[in-house]
Amino acid sequence: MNNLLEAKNIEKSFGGIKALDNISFSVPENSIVSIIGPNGSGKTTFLNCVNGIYTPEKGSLKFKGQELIHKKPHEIAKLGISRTFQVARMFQKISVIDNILAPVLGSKSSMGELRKEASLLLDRVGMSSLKESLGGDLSGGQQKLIELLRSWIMDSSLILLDEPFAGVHPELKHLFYEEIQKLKQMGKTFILISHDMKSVYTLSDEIIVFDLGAIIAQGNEEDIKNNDKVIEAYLGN
Amino acid sequence: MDRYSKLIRFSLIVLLLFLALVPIIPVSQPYFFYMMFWVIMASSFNIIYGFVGYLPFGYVMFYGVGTYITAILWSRFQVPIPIAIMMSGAAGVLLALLFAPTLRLKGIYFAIVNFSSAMILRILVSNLPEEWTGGSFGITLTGAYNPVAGYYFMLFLMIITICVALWLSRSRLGIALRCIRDDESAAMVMGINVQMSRLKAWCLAALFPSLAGGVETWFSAIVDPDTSFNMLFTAKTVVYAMFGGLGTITGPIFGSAFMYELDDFIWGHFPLMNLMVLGFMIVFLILFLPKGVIGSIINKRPKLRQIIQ
Amino acid sequence: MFDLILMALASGILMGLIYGLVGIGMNILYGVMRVVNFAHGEFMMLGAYLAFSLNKGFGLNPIQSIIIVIPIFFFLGLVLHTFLYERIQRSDDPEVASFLVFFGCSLIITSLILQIWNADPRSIPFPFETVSIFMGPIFLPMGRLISAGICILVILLLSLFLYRTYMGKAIRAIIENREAVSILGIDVHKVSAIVFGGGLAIVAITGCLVTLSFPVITPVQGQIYTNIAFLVIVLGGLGTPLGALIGGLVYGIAESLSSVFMPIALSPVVAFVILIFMVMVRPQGLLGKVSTRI
Repeated sequence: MNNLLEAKNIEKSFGGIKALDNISFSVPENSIVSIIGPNGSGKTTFLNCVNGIYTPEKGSLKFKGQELIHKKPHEIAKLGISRTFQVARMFQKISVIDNILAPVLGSKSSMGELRKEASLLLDRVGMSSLKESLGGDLSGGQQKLIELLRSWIMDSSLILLDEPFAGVHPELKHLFYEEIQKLKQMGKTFILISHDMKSVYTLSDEIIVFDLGAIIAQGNEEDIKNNDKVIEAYLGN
Repeated sequence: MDRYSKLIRFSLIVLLLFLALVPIIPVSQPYFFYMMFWVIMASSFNIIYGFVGYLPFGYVMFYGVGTYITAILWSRFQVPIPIAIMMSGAAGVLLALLFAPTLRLKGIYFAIVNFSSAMILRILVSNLPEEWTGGSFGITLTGAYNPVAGYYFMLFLMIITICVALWLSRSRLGIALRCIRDDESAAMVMGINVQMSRLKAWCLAALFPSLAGGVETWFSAIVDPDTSFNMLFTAKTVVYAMFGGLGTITGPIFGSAFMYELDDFIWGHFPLMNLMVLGFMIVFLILFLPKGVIGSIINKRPKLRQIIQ
Repeated sequence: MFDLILMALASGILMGLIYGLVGIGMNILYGVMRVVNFAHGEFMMLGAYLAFSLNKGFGLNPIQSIIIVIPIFFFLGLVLHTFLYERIQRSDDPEVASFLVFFGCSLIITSLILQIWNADPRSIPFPFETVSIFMGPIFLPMGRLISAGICILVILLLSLFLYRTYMGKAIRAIIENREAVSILGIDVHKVSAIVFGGGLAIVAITGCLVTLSFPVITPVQGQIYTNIAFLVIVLGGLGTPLGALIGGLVYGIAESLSSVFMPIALSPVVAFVILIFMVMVRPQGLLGKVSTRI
């Protein structure tokens, strides 16, 4: 199986602080890889590097063989990587359906087709009635779901989810699971950051543990649960 | 909701029919001509200020360039007026492109530079050789005077302007602009080309006043630098558009129609007070009704947004 | 030719000082409150017309009028501040909002002037005996010389105020960093009220000086002065009073020198070219700290 994303020796500092220290791992195609770790361990920073929001000082990030570092966020988006944020970045004063359409305005399909697709997506998650509501009127969880729908419409091969379940109503959570699994069935690949261990164990093919900017463990549920370093990182000395 | 939509659509058709018949029925042709003119000015101004958030305080320069290009082409080069008007539109867009680098400037700096630009254009046009621009006396288009043709052209232009505004609100460009206005960095991350979108809106906003200027020249048959580049044009455009409500489609239409009537009334009865009323309206609007009339209505009754936006 | 240029230089410096004070009024208002006073020129004309009436009614010369006009405009500033400032600050874009509000004020004031004094050009008979002084090949109009002198005096007093008094230091602190200042216990609201009043008072002074420096005043000249004020502060840098002075000098000299080589009516064009150049190339102005770029 191919590796969709390959990170090698990624280093990123802010001022004197090393946020990412020699990060190397691969994300196989059509897998769900979760990154877990204590707060401040560099998880979101890593995602920001993939996205193009940050530029690492050292290392390489290859997506389908293409180097991502030094590319701009919108170029990376066009390559097929989409992203959700810890705090959903919805456009507050724009309708929900326009929010879904925002990332694909440059596509070759007609507006009519795109609107139809977006409507169908909203139908599927039971949010049709909210189609013309303003983005800012939605709950935090609903906003996150819309962000996920964006990945759908963008047809991205790699989807980065940053704390997708945080602040989400338990009833919505199963919708998230469904959508993620549907997307996986379609061949998509995920990198997932979460503190919700139940979701992580349910969904992931592989789990990577960050602490203080470095990878301290890697493997499946069993490997992680019994790893001393992981326990230490979470519980402190 | 449907009932409202049907009602609005019906009244729009009636209105358009009425406007089409104006030259034939015994009402004041200039009155409606200029009302349509202001609807065009306010609606296109809305594109650059309401949608994109830039305040071109020298907006009159597009109108001015439109009037002059038409006048010059007709009087110096015997270009038939309809073609001259088209070329005025092109000139307006060219002017917009020329000023495109100023789009990098922050809010008030853009406004200030744009304001000065209009002032400078006025001075330049006044001081260019008379053979070119008629100097400070302007140009009189004797023989070109055709108010009926001018009227219908203006009507046609107004319909187009409104259609473009409607298209804009549903189109890619419109969505992109609204995203940019909402959260510029998020828009960038999503692949929206912020600079290009702004530029397109800017050119669009320049096109209609220049065309309108050309048509107005046909109607009035005279151009001169003080009228063509008068700051009061921008002032009225701003007030009319803001009164109705920026960022909406019906806002500028309603605002300009209402304010024009008010302006006309005051001009007829208290000519000296005209400036003062305009001034007070601006102050009042900014302080108490920044979203305009339509905008405030939408705020209070969000459901109406679909219909009147 | 050399004589002409020398004269232009001298004239430019004199006018530059006056323009500098014109700019300082707007500059401080923006620096402290992020308020763009679009009615700057119109307030100036109001001051000028008041000086005219004081002269006609009571025989006061413009310099004496300054003393009367200062408290009037200071009070006016406090009143306007009370009514306008809060609401402007609460809007989505306070800078643009202030721009438009004062634009409205400019129309109101112009209309007021037209109604009270009508549109005829007015002038004040020159109150001093010497009309101009000769210094070698140059002759300096007395009116402008005195105006420039008063400007220097006002600027000196202002600098003393800004650098030696507590209030002045508070004002400078706010210009540097508005957000941080409230932590220092400075009552921003009170300070901005005083600044507004003071700013308008300075504008009024320049208005009186206009009657000394130019032959006639008309109600529509306000626009030109507002434009000059804009140019001066963009040149010098928004937010620095010293910058306004330098901006004024640069503009005054540029305008004067260019009038040697091209018709006077085109000198605003020169100013504009300088403005565009400055704004695109060095957005902070010569000295400024506030960026013009997004």
